[in-house]
Amino acid sequence: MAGISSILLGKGLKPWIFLSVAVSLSLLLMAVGGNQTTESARSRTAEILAILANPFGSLSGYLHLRGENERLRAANSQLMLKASRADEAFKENERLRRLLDFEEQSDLRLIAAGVIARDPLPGVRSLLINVGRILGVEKHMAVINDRGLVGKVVRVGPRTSVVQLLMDRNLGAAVRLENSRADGITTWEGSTFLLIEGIPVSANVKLGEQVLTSGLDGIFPEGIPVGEVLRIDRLPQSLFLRIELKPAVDFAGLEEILIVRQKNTPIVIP
Amino acid sequence: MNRFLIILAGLVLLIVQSTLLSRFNLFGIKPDLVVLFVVGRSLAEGPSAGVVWGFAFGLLLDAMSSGLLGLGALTYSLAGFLAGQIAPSRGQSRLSYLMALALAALLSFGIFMYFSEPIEDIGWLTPLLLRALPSAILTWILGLIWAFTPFSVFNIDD
Repeated sequence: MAGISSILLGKGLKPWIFLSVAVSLSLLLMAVGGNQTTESARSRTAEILAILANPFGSLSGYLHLRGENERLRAANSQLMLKASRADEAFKENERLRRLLDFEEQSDLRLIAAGVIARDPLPGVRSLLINVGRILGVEKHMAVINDRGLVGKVVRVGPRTSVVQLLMDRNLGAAVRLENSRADGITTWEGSTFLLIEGIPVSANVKLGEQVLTSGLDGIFPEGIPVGEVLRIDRLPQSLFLRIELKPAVDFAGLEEILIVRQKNTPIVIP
Repeated sequence: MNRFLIILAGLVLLIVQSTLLSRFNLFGIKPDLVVLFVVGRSLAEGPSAGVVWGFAFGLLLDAMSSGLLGLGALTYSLAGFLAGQIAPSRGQSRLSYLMALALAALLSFGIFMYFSEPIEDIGWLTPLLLRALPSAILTWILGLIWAFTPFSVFNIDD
């Protein structure tokens, strides 16, 4: 015990004072982290770091193809969304549910963006992307790629934004199983798959069934592919199924993404 | 060593960590170059400097992340402090550096894991054994290689 004390106090009290100040400041930042001033300062710092990070992000090669690739992915995603919605609409027609206003649902616009940096802090799943407020990005907008749902925008600067990935413990999406029509919410428990909560044991869920966003959370538009059912467990004495979901998106290989924006949202130029 | 060059080296490591290294992320396992940098500075300049470097670079990483503001600053400050307390003096001993690095890396990955993994649902053991520990070992191996390069803290005259 005396040995530990001598090690810890061997360099005097100065380091302890530094540590106390640093810890206090960190905790203070954690407490006030959500306010406008700190978020603005955070966005501006990210803008500067993005300028430095951009050359590194471009080292992956095919730089000259990036613009073309983004355009193709945007077109592909538009088609994917249309096909997905058409399929949804067809099934709803079959069930004589004609109350859905499809024209309003398809009133979406996509903003192409490149990934500058990802997961800067170990364990925190996020992306720093190269578009911001100037191009019409806003907080809570859905983020997709040509495969499906990626996450949502959580912080916006003039030219950069931070995206929270779906594989993050603090983000869930309202989803619907394509065939059984059961609604649930995705959660992440630290593995390579997602879980769907809230699906009752009475639901007729099949392995491989497609899972789409339901739009019930008011953030993610309806009909975006989220993944497919990987495993179904009936837990004893539980009213709900435990469903593992294989994400449609390869989160490790994200290069370009698309931000979903309502067409009638005005672009605000600061 | 020129302080400007140290800041530049730290920024390069920070950016490489969040751009190039992120592509080699395997099941959430990846090394942490910033903890290497902070431990290196802590050994070269002492624990107080380690806290300052850790706080500053942690805050920069917080700006790029969607996580809690202050989490990086807190974690790397603690890592810098711990490393400086373990190492005897100005980075003369590679063994103490490696021991300091191992503990600092494990501490920082442990803190990040606590804040980012759903511990309340899956418990401590799985993320600790499957992600925090392998990531800390990977960081330690990189640190071991770095300790024997011409750019290590043992060869830099501060």
